[in-house]
Amino acid sequence: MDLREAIKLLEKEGRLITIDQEVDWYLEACAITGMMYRVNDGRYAVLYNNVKDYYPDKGRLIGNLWAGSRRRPWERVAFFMGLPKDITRRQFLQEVTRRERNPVKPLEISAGDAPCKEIIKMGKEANLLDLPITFSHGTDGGRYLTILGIINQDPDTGWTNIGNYRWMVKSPRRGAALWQMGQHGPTIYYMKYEARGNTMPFCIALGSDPLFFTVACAPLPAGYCEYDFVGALRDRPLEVVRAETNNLLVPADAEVIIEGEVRPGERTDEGPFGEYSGYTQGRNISPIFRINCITMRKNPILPAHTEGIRWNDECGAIIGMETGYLHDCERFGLKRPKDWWLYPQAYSLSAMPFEATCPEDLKRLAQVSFYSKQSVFNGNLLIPCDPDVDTSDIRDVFEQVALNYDPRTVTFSGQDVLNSPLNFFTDADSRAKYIDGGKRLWDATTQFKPWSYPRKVSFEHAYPLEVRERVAETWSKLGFDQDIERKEPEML
Amino acid sequence: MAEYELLIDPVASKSVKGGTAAPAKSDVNVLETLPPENKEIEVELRDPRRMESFKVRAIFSSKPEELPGADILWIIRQDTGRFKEPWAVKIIERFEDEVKEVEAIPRRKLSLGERKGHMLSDLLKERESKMAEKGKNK
Repeated sequence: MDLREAIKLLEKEGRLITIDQEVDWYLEACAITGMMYRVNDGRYAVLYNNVKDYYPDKGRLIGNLWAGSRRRPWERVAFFMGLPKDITRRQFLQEVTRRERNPVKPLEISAGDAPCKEIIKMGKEANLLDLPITFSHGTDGGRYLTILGIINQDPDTGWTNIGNYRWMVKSPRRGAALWQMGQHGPTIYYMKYEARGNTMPFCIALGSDPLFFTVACAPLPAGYCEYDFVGALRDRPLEVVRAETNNLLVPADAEVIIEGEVRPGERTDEGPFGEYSGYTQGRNISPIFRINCITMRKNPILPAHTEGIRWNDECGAIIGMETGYLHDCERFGLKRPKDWWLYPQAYSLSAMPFEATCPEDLKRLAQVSFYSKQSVFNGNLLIPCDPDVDTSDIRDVFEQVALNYDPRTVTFSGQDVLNSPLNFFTDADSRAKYIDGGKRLWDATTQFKPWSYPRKVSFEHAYPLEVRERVAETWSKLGFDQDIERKEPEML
Repeated sequence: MAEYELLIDPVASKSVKGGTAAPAKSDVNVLETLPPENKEIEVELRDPRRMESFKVRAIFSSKPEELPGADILWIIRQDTGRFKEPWAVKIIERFEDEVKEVEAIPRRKLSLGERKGHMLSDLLKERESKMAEKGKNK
């Protein structure tokens, strides 16, 4: 499905709010989107039909398209994958893994059949400011695209990479990105174009199949084409078409395709921008992305995403990172955890139910997660809990820390782990150079400890099953308003 | 009288990412401190109406009355925000975006057969390479 079909489906499900009165692309749209999430817990996507300066036909905005609820952040991605509404998290993760293992190649179609070529603007006609790109927060350096796929290609192997890198509109035909060495797209540029004195062609795709964004954020291995993973997740090939001014393949159903080039050695400044980490990060130095052509659908719909503290469209991004951690555990010989949670309201925190097979497994878990590709931008504090703990609720995780964490010894610290430009600690130069990073594991498990824990006292631990069942049975008869809350191991 | 904004960032990263060759043509104009007054410098300004950035050669002054005919300049510090009182800026030269003459690469229409063939040949190639790898491992 393309973005428009996804919006129609949400409308049919009663999950779309349409706003026809004028809303400003400058701050207002993003403020409404953020508040809409806060008030409705991700229940509704919001479509802005009348964007100031762009009404009636220059573009519209969609917010909270990927946002699931706090307890079920995967539900919108599952919806776009065509999975049942009541799918559990574990079933969902299993299905993502199953589909990932069966990549589906893209299908190339002719330009005449591609909706993204309805309007073509070349050279001086191409103007980024003709698109309703939002200015998200008062502290930002410029208008930003944050839900996008930047497409570039390895000139040696032909591997096409698609990545989600925040992208700042500088002027009608110039942009800048948080373009960090170590991520696939930037590494291809720095090592295989700039180092050889060559210009790199690139494309930016906005608003294709919603799963395109999820995949652009996934930490796939080098050499794995993201288009194959998009096809896998949607269970059929993604239709692609050649760009107008270079030979890259782009999603044919995208709302907007921006085509351009990055010339070796050119730099400009990028930022500041209010990030999902919860802070406005300062300026960075970026290559200059020069625009040569923009193709688009008529009256395109652009994502109006509000980053920052609390949950939002990041729900569509974290699925890929969480499955990345699960794969890494398996690859390095650990028992695959049943779950892995990154909490978008506190992205640097992650927790998982973890079953160790020997005392050393916790240290291995620390090593695997501290040095994995996806850990650069999240997971500074890792909290493994016992295998029967439901880590979906951050309060339960901290309850486990309070119950089980031994402050004397069982802490692992990452040495020489990569720093990230999104961290709040260290100075900006260290963040940009990836040095002086830090990660820590708090062990909230009870397995293989040299001491024995006293017996726990809770509803589940202190009463025999027959008593618990009897209480559950008679609860409603006792006249209480609330339902009984149980966390039996088999229910977790 | 037009209004412009100037962003200054005392904690900006000065590191060039990538670690490859040093940039030949740098367009980095981050000011860490206030601009020097009554002196021509090249810097990036922002038009608050469209949030468009552009490079200029300009003269700045903290006392607007001392720079007649100048435009209004709002200074925004990354850490403390917008200054209460505006400065003045006189733009000597504005550097516009380069426009590159580009042409679309001619493409011929793909037949349905070709489209399917493309996908099948890709899948076949992948299968063959997997089989070859399996053979090697044996």
